[in-house]
Amino acid sequence: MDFDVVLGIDSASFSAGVDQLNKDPKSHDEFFKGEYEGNNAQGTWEVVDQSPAFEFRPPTADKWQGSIGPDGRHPTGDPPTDNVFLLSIPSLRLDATIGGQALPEVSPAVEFYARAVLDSGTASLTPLAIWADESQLSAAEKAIVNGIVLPQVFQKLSTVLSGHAVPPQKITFGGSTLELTLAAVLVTDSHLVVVATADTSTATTLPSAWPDQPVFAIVNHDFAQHLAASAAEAHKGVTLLDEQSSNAAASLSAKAVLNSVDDIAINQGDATSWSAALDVSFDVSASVLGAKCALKKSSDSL
Amino acid sequence: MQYKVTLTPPKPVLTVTVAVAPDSAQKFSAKVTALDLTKADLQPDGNPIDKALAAAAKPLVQALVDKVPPIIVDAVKDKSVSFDLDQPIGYKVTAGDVPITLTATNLVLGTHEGHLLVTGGIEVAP
Repeated sequence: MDFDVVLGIDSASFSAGVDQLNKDPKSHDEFFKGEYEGNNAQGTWEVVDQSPAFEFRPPTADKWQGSIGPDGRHPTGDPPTDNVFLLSIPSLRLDATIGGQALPEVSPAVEFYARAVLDSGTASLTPLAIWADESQLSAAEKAIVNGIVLPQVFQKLSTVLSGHAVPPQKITFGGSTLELTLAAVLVTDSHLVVVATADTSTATTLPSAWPDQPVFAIVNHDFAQHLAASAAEAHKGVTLLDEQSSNAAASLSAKAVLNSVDDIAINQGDATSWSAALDVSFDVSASVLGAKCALKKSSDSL
Repeated sequence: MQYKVTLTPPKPVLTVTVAVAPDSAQKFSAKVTALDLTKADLQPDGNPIDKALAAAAKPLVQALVDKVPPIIVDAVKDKSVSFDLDQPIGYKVTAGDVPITLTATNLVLGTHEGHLLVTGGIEVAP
Protein backbone atom coordinates (compact mmCIF):
# COMPACT_ATOMS: atom_id res chain seq x y z
CA MET A 1 0.00 0.00 0.00
CA ASP A 2 1.29 3.45 -0.91
CA PHE A 3 0.90 6.76 0.89
CA ASP A 4 1.60 10.44 0.68
CA VAL A 5 0.38 11.25 4.19
CA VAL A 6 -0.76 9.01 7.04
CA LEU A 7 -2.44 9.99 10.28
CA GLY A 8 -2.21 7.74 13.33
CA ILE A 9 -4.32 8.05 16.49
CA ASP A 10 -3.82 5.71 19.43
CA SER A 11 -6.69 4.12 21.31
CA ALA A 12 -6.51 6.49 24.28
CA SER A 13 -6.60 9.54 22.00
CA PHE A 14 -9.39 8.02 19.94
CA SER A 15 -11.35 7.47 23.16
CA ALA A 16 -11.23 11.16 24.06
CA GLY A 17 -14.31 11.94 21.98
CA VAL A 18 -16.43 9.25 23.67
CA ASP A 19 -15.13 10.37 27.05
CA GLN A 20 -16.12 13.96 26.32
CA LEU A 21 -19.61 12.91 25.26
CA ASN A 22 -20.04 10.71 28.31
CA LYS A 23 -19.00 13.52 30.64
CA ASP A 24 -21.37 16.01 29.02
CA PRO A 25 -24.63 15.69 31.04
CA LYS A 26 -26.93 16.23 28.05
CA SER A 27 -25.06 13.76 25.84
CA HIS A 28 -24.77 11.27 28.71
CA ASP A 29 -28.52 11.29 29.17
CA GLU A 30 -29.08 10.96 25.44
CA PHE A 31 -26.61 8.21 24.57
CA PHE A 32 -25.29 6.57 27.74
CA LYS A 33 -28.47 5.76 29.65
CA GLY A 34 -31.96 4.58 28.89
CA GLU A 35 -35.19 3.05 30.08
CA TYR A 36 -36.73 -0.12 28.82
CA GLU A 37 -40.00 -1.98 29.07
CA GLY A 38 -41.14 -5.26 27.59
CA ASN A 39 -41.59 -8.98 28.23
CA ASN A 40 -43.26 -8.21 31.58
CA ALA A 41 -40.13 -6.35 32.67
CA GLN A 42 -39.09 -2.74 33.03
CA GLY A 43 -36.03 -0.91 34.25
CA THR A 44 -33.13 1.37 33.41
CA TRP A 45 -29.56 1.07 32.25
CA GLU A 46 -26.66 3.52 32.46
CA VAL A 47 -22.96 3.64 31.73
CA VAL A 48 -21.41 4.35 35.13
CA ASP A 49 -17.95 4.89 36.62
CA GLN A 50 -15.27 4.84 33.91
CA SER A 51 -16.01 6.18 30.46
CA PRO A 52 -16.08 3.71 27.60
CA ALA A 53 -12.70 3.35 25.92
CA PHE A 54 -11.56 1.89 22.62
CA GLU A 55 -9.24 -1.10 22.58
CA PHE A 56 -7.67 -1.93 19.24
CA ARG A 57 -8.20 -5.69 19.27
CA PRO A 58 -10.93 -7.88 17.79
CA PRO A 59 -13.40 -9.88 19.91
CA THR A 60 -12.63 -13.40 21.06
CA ALA A 61 -14.63 -16.17 19.40
CA ASP A 62 -16.65 -16.82 22.57
CA LYS A 63 -17.60 -13.18 23.04
CA TRP A 64 -18.35 -12.67 19.35
CA GLN A 65 -20.69 -15.64 19.25
CA GLY A 66 -22.30 -14.50 22.50
CA SER A 67 -22.84 -10.96 21.25
CA ILE A 68 -26.00 -9.42 19.79
CA GLY A 69 -25.90 -8.04 16.26
CA PRO A 70 -28.02 -5.32 14.66
CA ASP A 71 -30.70 -7.93 13.92
CA GLY A 72 -30.91 -8.89 17.61
CA ARG A 73 -29.36 -12.29 16.96
CA HIS A 74 -26.09 -13.94 17.91
CA PRO A 75 -23.53 -13.82 15.08
CA THR A 76 -22.18 -17.17 13.94
CA GLY A 77 -18.75 -18.25 12.76
CA ASP A 78 -15.34 -16.85 13.54
CA PRO A 79 -15.10 -13.26 14.73
CA PRO A 80 -14.10 -10.70 12.10
CA THR A 81 -10.56 -9.43 12.40
CA ASP A 82 -10.14 -7.00 9.51
CA ASN A 83 -9.99 -3.51 11.07
CA VAL A 84 -12.32 -4.69 13.85
CA PHE A 85 -11.87 -3.44 17.39
CA LEU A 86 -13.96 -2.84 20.47
CA LEU A 87 -15.31 -0.14 22.72
CA SER A 88 -14.98 -1.37 26.28
CA ILE A 89 -17.69 -0.31 28.73
CA PRO A 90 -16.39 -1.38 32.13
CA SER A 91 -19.68 -1.02 33.95
CA LEU A 92 -23.23 -0.90 32.61
CA ARG A 93 -25.57 -0.53 35.59
CA LEU A 94 -28.86 -2.35 35.16
CA ASP A 95 -31.93 -2.41 37.31
CA ALA A 96 -34.95 -4.46 36.46
CA THR A 97 -38.41 -5.19 37.75
CA ILE A 98 -39.94 -8.41 36.53
CA GLY A 99 -43.60 -9.06 37.20
CA GLY A 100 -43.60 -6.23 39.75
CA GLN A 101 -40.64 -7.67 41.65
CA ALA A 102 -37.41 -5.64 41.71
CA LEU A 103 -34.23 -7.60 41.03
CA PRO A 104 -30.86 -6.74 42.60
CA GLU A 105 -28.92 -4.13 40.65
CA VAL A 106 -26.14 -5.56 38.45
CA SER A 107 -23.34 -3.87 36.49
CA PRO A 108 -21.88 -6.18 33.87
CA ALA A 109 -18.98 -5.23 31.64
CA VAL A 110 -19.96 -4.65 28.03
CA GLU A 111 -17.99 -4.70 24.78
CA PHE A 112 -19.17 -2.98 21.62
CA TYR A 113 -17.57 -4.24 18.41
CA ALA A 114 -17.03 -1.99 15.41
CA ARG A 115 -15.09 -1.87 12.18
CA ALA A 116 -13.10 1.07 10.82
CA VAL A 117 -14.11 1.77 7.22
CA LEU A 118 -13.85 4.32 4.46
CA ASP A 119 -17.25 5.78 3.71
CA SER A 120 -17.68 8.46 1.04
CA GLY A 121 -14.03 9.42 1.32
CA THR A 122 -14.11 9.76 5.11
CA ALA A 123 -12.76 7.34 7.70
CA SER A 124 -15.57 6.28 10.00
CA LEU A 125 -16.85 3.38 12.10
CA THR A 126 -19.46 0.73 11.40
CA PRO A 127 -21.13 -0.81 14.49
CA LEU A 128 -21.12 -4.63 14.38
CA ALA A 129 -22.36 -6.19 17.62
CA ILE A 130 -22.53 -5.81 21.38
CA TRP A 131 -21.66 -8.26 24.14
CA ALA A 132 -22.28 -8.27 27.91
CA ASP A 133 -20.59 -10.31 30.60
CA GLU A 134 -23.52 -12.44 31.75
CA SER A 135 -21.51 -14.68 34.06
CA GLN A 136 -23.12 -13.16 37.16
CA LEU A 137 -26.64 -12.84 35.75
CA SER A 138 -29.64 -15.04 36.36
CA ALA A 139 -31.52 -16.65 33.49
CA ALA A 140 -34.24 -14.00 33.79
CA GLU A 141 -31.68 -11.20 33.74
CA LYS A 142 -29.92 -12.72 30.72
CA ALA A 143 -33.22 -12.78 28.85
CA ILE A 144 -33.80 -9.09 29.59
CA VAL A 145 -30.21 -8.12 28.78
CA ASN A 146 -30.07 -10.00 25.48
CA GLY A 147 -33.64 -9.38 24.41
CA ILE A 148 -34.19 -5.77 25.41
CA VAL A 149 -31.23 -3.94 26.94
CA LEU A 150 -28.36 -4.78 24.59
CA PRO A 151 -30.33 -3.95 21.42
CA GLN A 152 -31.22 -0.59 22.96
CA VAL A 153 -27.63 0.12 24.07
CA PHE A 154 -26.46 -0.96 20.61
CA GLN A 155 -28.83 1.48 18.96
CA LYS A 156 -27.85 4.42 21.16
CA LEU A 157 -24.09 3.87 21.10
CA SER A 158 -24.20 3.18 17.37
CA THR A 159 -25.01 6.85 16.97
CA VAL A 160 -21.87 7.73 18.92
CA LEU A 161 -19.63 5.30 17.03
CA SER A 162 -21.02 6.20 13.62
CA GLY A 163 -20.41 9.85 14.48
CA HIS A 164 -16.63 9.35 14.49
CA ALA A 165 -14.98 10.73 11.39
CA VAL A 166 -11.50 11.48 10.11
CA PRO A 167 -12.16 13.68 7.08
CA PRO A 168 -9.76 14.19 4.16
CA GLN A 169 -7.51 17.25 4.17
CA LYS A 170 -6.53 20.00 1.77
CA ILE A 171 -3.14 21.70 1.84
CA THR A 172 -2.88 25.32 0.76
CA PHE A 173 0.48 26.91 0.00
CA GLY A 174 1.70 29.75 -2.17
CA GLY A 175 -1.71 30.24 -3.76
CA SER A 176 -2.09 26.55 -4.64
CA THR A 177 -4.23 23.87 -3.04
CA LEU A 178 -3.56 20.14 -2.98
CA GLU A 179 -6.33 17.75 -2.06
CA LEU A 180 -5.59 14.55 -0.17
CA THR A 181 -7.81 11.57 -0.83
CA LEU A 182 -8.23 8.90 1.83
CA ALA A 183 -7.05 5.61 0.37
CA ALA A 184 -7.33 3.22 3.30
CA VAL A 185 -7.90 2.90 7.02
CA LEU A 186 -5.93 0.41 9.13
CA VAL A 187 -6.23 -0.69 12.72
CA THR A 188 -2.91 -1.73 14.24
CA ASP A 189 -2.34 -3.03 17.76
CA SER A 190 -1.99 0.53 19.00
CA HIS A 191 -3.26 3.01 16.43
CA LEU A 192 -6.02 3.78 14.00
CA VAL A 193 -4.10 4.71 10.85
CA VAL A 194 -5.64 6.67 8.00
CA VAL A 195 -3.76 6.54 4.70
CA ALA A 196 -4.07 9.40 2.21
CA THR A 197 -2.67 10.05 -1.25
CA ALA A 198 -2.51 13.08 -3.51
CA ASP A 199 -2.64 13.32 -7.27
CA THR A 200 1.09 13.95 -7.43
CA SER A 201 2.53 10.54 -8.44
CA THR A 202 4.68 10.63 -5.33
CA ALA A 203 3.00 7.93 -3.23
CA THR A 204 5.39 5.39 -1.80
CA THR A 205 5.29 2.23 0.32
CA LEU A 206 4.06 2.56 3.89
CA PRO A 207 6.73 2.71 6.61
CA SER A 208 7.86 -0.63 8.01
CA ALA A 209 6.96 0.45 11.56
CA TRP A 210 4.73 3.06 13.15
CA PRO A 211 5.73 5.72 15.69
CA ASP A 212 4.75 5.17 19.33
CA GLN A 213 3.42 8.68 19.98
CA PRO A 214 -0.33 9.11 20.73
CA VAL A 215 -0.95 11.09 17.55
CA PHE A 216 1.29 11.16 14.50
CA ALA A 217 1.29 12.25 10.90
CA ILE A 218 3.90 11.10 8.41
CA VAL A 219 4.51 13.05 5.22
CA ASN A 220 6.11 10.96 2.51
CA HIS A 221 9.63 12.22 1.66
CA ASP A 222 8.86 12.55 -2.06
CA PHE A 223 5.52 14.26 -1.41
CA ALA A 224 7.22 16.79 0.89
CA GLN A 225 9.77 17.40 -1.86
CA HIS A 226 6.92 17.92 -4.32
CA LEU A 227 5.35 20.47 -1.95
CA ALA A 228 8.69 22.26 -1.62
CA ALA A 229 9.20 22.34 -5.39
CA SER A 230 5.66 23.60 -5.99
CA ALA A 231 6.05 26.31 -3.37
CA ALA A 232 9.41 27.31 -4.85
CA GLU A 233 7.87 27.56 -8.31
CA ALA A 234 5.66 30.35 -6.99
CA HIS A 235 8.78 32.41 -6.24
CA LYS A 236 10.14 32.21 -9.77
CA GLY A 237 10.88 35.68 -11.13
CA VAL A 238 11.12 37.30 -7.70
CA THR A 239 13.59 40.18 -7.51
CA LEU A 240 16.14 39.47 -4.80
CA LEU A 241 18.22 42.58 -5.25
CA ASP A 242 17.67 45.95 -6.91
CA GLU A 243 20.36 48.24 -5.57
CA GLN A 244 22.36 51.21 -6.59
CA SER A 245 25.48 52.14 -4.67
CA SER A 246 28.53 54.25 -5.19
CA ASN A 247 31.78 55.35 -3.63
CA ALA A 248 34.17 58.21 -4.41
CA ALA A 249 35.45 56.56 -7.55
CA ALA A 250 32.68 54.26 -8.89
CA SER A 251 28.96 53.64 -8.92
CA LEU A 252 27.19 50.30 -9.24
CA SER A 253 23.69 49.36 -10.32
CA ALA A 254 22.78 45.75 -9.55
CA LYS A 255 19.62 43.72 -10.02
CA ALA A 256 19.30 40.02 -9.19
CA VAL A 257 16.27 37.96 -10.17
CA LEU A 258 15.47 34.42 -9.03
CA ASN A 259 15.20 32.23 -12.14
CA SER A 260 14.45 28.97 -10.36
CA VAL A 261 15.06 26.88 -7.27
CA ASP A 262 16.92 23.71 -8.22
CA ASP A 263 18.19 20.55 -6.60
CA ILE A 264 15.62 20.61 -3.80
CA ALA A 265 16.55 17.94 -1.29
CA ILE A 266 15.12 16.80 2.02
CA ASN A 267 17.69 15.59 4.51
CA GLN A 268 17.14 11.85 4.99
CA GLY A 269 18.42 12.00 8.57
CA ASP A 270 16.50 15.16 9.47
CA ALA A 271 13.40 15.58 7.30
CA THR A 272 12.73 19.00 8.83
CA SER A 273 15.84 20.34 7.08
CA TRP A 274 15.55 21.04 3.36
CA SER A 275 18.09 22.48 0.94
CA ALA A 276 18.13 23.89 -2.57
CA ALA A 277 20.27 25.83 -5.02
CA LEU A 278 19.09 29.18 -6.36
CA ASP A 279 19.53 30.05 -10.01
CA VAL A 280 19.83 33.82 -10.09
CA SER A 281 20.47 36.11 -13.04
CA PHE A 282 22.39 39.35 -12.56
CA ASP A 283 22.02 42.61 -14.39
CA VAL A 284 24.90 44.73 -13.18
CA SER A 285 26.49 47.87 -14.53
CA ALA A 286 29.22 50.06 -13.12
CA SER A 287 30.50 53.50 -13.83
CA VAL A 288 34.13 54.20 -13.03
CA LEU A 289 35.56 57.69 -13.33
CA GLY A 290 32.84 58.48 -15.82
CA ALA A 291 33.37 55.32 -17.92
CA LYS A 292 30.69 52.63 -17.92
CA CYS A 293 31.41 48.97 -17.71
CA ALA A 294 29.12 45.92 -17.72
CA LEU A 295 29.36 42.94 -15.43
CA LYS A 296 27.97 39.58 -16.21
CA LYS A 297 27.55 36.57 -14.07
CA SER A 298 29.62 33.55 -14.91
CA SER A 299 27.92 31.06 -12.64
CA ASP A 300 24.56 29.56 -13.60
CA SER A 301 23.55 29.01 -10.02
CA LEU A 302 23.55 31.22 -7.03
CA MET B 1 35.13 47.23 -19.75
CA GLN B 2 33.70 43.87 -18.96
CA TYR B 3 33.89 41.60 -15.94
CA LYS B 4 32.80 38.10 -15.13
CA VAL B 5 31.30 37.50 -11.70
CA THR B 6 32.37 34.35 -9.87
CA LEU B 7 30.49 33.26 -6.77
CA THR B 8 31.79 31.55 -3.65
CA PRO B 9 30.79 28.79 -3.39
CA PRO B 10 30.07 28.35 -7.09
CA LYS B 11 26.62 26.90 -6.30
CA PRO B 12 25.49 28.42 -3.01
CA VAL B 13 22.99 26.34 -1.07
CA LEU B 14 19.83 27.50 0.61
CA THR B 15 18.89 25.80 3.89
CA VAL B 16 15.23 25.63 4.94
CA THR B 17 13.77 24.48 8.24
CA VAL B 18 10.22 23.19 8.54
CA ALA B 19 8.25 24.17 11.62
CA VAL B 20 4.73 24.13 13.02
CA ALA B 21 3.14 27.34 14.25
CA PRO B 22 2.82 27.58 18.05
CA ASP B 23 -0.44 26.18 19.40
CA SER B 24 -1.53 25.12 15.94
CA ALA B 25 -2.35 21.75 14.41
CA GLN B 26 -2.89 23.06 10.90
CA LYS B 27 -0.32 25.79 10.12
CA PHE B 28 3.17 24.75 9.04
CA SER B 29 5.98 26.72 7.46
CA ALA B 30 9.25 26.26 5.63
CA LYS B 31 11.62 29.07 6.57
CA VAL B 32 14.98 29.92 5.03
CA THR B 33 17.60 29.76 7.76
CA ALA B 34 20.79 30.14 5.73
CA LEU B 35 22.26 30.86 2.31
CA ASP B 36 25.94 30.05 2.11
CA LEU B 37 26.80 32.74 -0.45
CA THR B 38 29.92 34.45 0.89
CA LYS B 39 31.60 36.23 -1.98
CA ALA B 40 31.20 37.64 -5.50
CA ASP B 41 34.49 38.12 -7.33
CA LEU B 42 35.19 40.05 -10.50
CA GLN B 43 37.45 38.91 -13.29
CA PRO B 44 38.30 41.31 -16.11
CA ASP B 45 36.86 40.13 -19.41
CA GLY B 46 36.71 41.15 -23.04
CA ASN B 47 39.50 41.97 -25.49
CA PRO B 48 43.04 42.58 -24.23
CA ILE B 49 42.59 46.33 -24.07
CA ASP B 50 39.26 46.03 -22.21
CA LYS B 51 40.85 43.54 -19.85
CA ALA B 52 43.69 45.90 -19.09
CA LEU B 53 41.28 48.75 -18.38
CA ALA B 54 39.00 46.51 -16.35
CA ALA B 55 41.93 45.21 -14.33
CA ALA B 56 42.96 48.76 -13.54
CA ALA B 57 39.44 49.68 -12.40
CA LYS B 58 38.72 46.38 -10.62
CA PRO B 59 39.54 47.48 -7.03
CA LEU B 60 37.08 50.35 -7.31
CA VAL B 61 34.23 48.21 -8.69
CA GLN B 62 35.02 45.18 -6.49
CA ALA B 63 34.53 47.33 -3.42
CA LEU B 64 30.93 47.88 -4.51
CA VAL B 65 30.36 44.29 -5.63
CA ASP B 66 31.51 43.09 -2.20
CA LYS B 67 28.32 44.56 -0.79
CA VAL B 68 26.10 42.40 -3.01
CA PRO B 69 26.36 38.94 -1.31
CA PRO B 70 25.23 40.07 2.16
CA ILE B 71 22.35 42.03 0.61
CA ILE B 72 21.15 38.92 -1.25
CA VAL B 73 21.58 36.75 1.84
CA ASP B 74 19.53 39.23 3.87
CA ALA B 75 16.88 39.32 1.14
CA VAL B 76 16.47 35.54 1.22
CA LYS B 77 17.04 34.69 4.88
CA ASP B 78 13.95 34.35 7.09
CA LYS B 79 11.66 34.21 4.07
CA SER B 80 9.06 31.52 4.63
CA VAL B 81 6.34 29.62 2.83
CA SER B 82 3.18 28.60 4.69
CA PHE B 83 1.55 25.20 4.32
CA ASP B 84 -1.96 25.36 5.78
CA LEU B 85 -4.32 22.44 6.31
CA ASP B 86 -7.99 23.21 5.83
CA GLN B 87 -8.69 21.68 9.24
CA PRO B 88 -6.56 20.76 12.25
CA ILE B 89 -4.97 17.31 12.50
CA GLY B 90 -7.37 15.17 14.49
CA TYR B 91 -10.89 13.80 14.20
CA LYS B 92 -14.51 14.68 14.85
CA VAL B 93 -17.36 13.07 16.71
CA THR B 94 -20.86 14.16 15.83
CA ALA B 95 -23.59 12.62 17.93
CA GLY B 96 -26.96 14.29 18.03
CA ASP B 97 -26.51 18.03 18.07
CA VAL B 98 -23.21 17.92 19.93
CA PRO B 99 -20.30 18.07 17.49
CA ILE B 100 -16.92 17.55 19.11
CA THR B 101 -13.59 18.28 17.46
CA LEU B 102 -10.52 16.52 18.76
CA THR B 103 -7.36 18.36 17.77
CA ALA B 104 -3.74 17.32 17.87
CA THR B 105 -1.76 19.32 20.39
CA ASN B 106 1.85 20.08 21.36
CA LEU B 107 3.05 19.06 17.92
CA VAL B 108 6.72 18.27 17.40
CA LEU B 109 8.39 17.68 14.04
CA GLY B 110 10.89 14.93 13.40
CA THR B 111 11.91 12.16 11.04
CA HIS B 112 10.55 8.66 10.61
CA GLU B 113 12.23 6.29 8.18
CA GLY B 114 13.37 9.30 6.13
CA HIS B 115 9.92 10.87 6.03
CA LEU B 116 8.73 14.05 7.75
CA LEU B 117 7.09 13.16 11.07
CA VAL B 118 4.63 15.18 13.15
CA THR B 119 3.80 13.89 16.63
CA GLY B 120 1.71 15.08 19.53
CA GLY B 121 -1.21 14.44 21.80
CA ILE B 122 -4.92 15.15 21.52
CA GLU B 123 -7.28 17.61 23.15
CA VAL B 124 -10.89 18.59 22.84
CA ALA B 125 -11.05 21.77 20.79
CA PRO B 126 -12.63 24.64 22.69
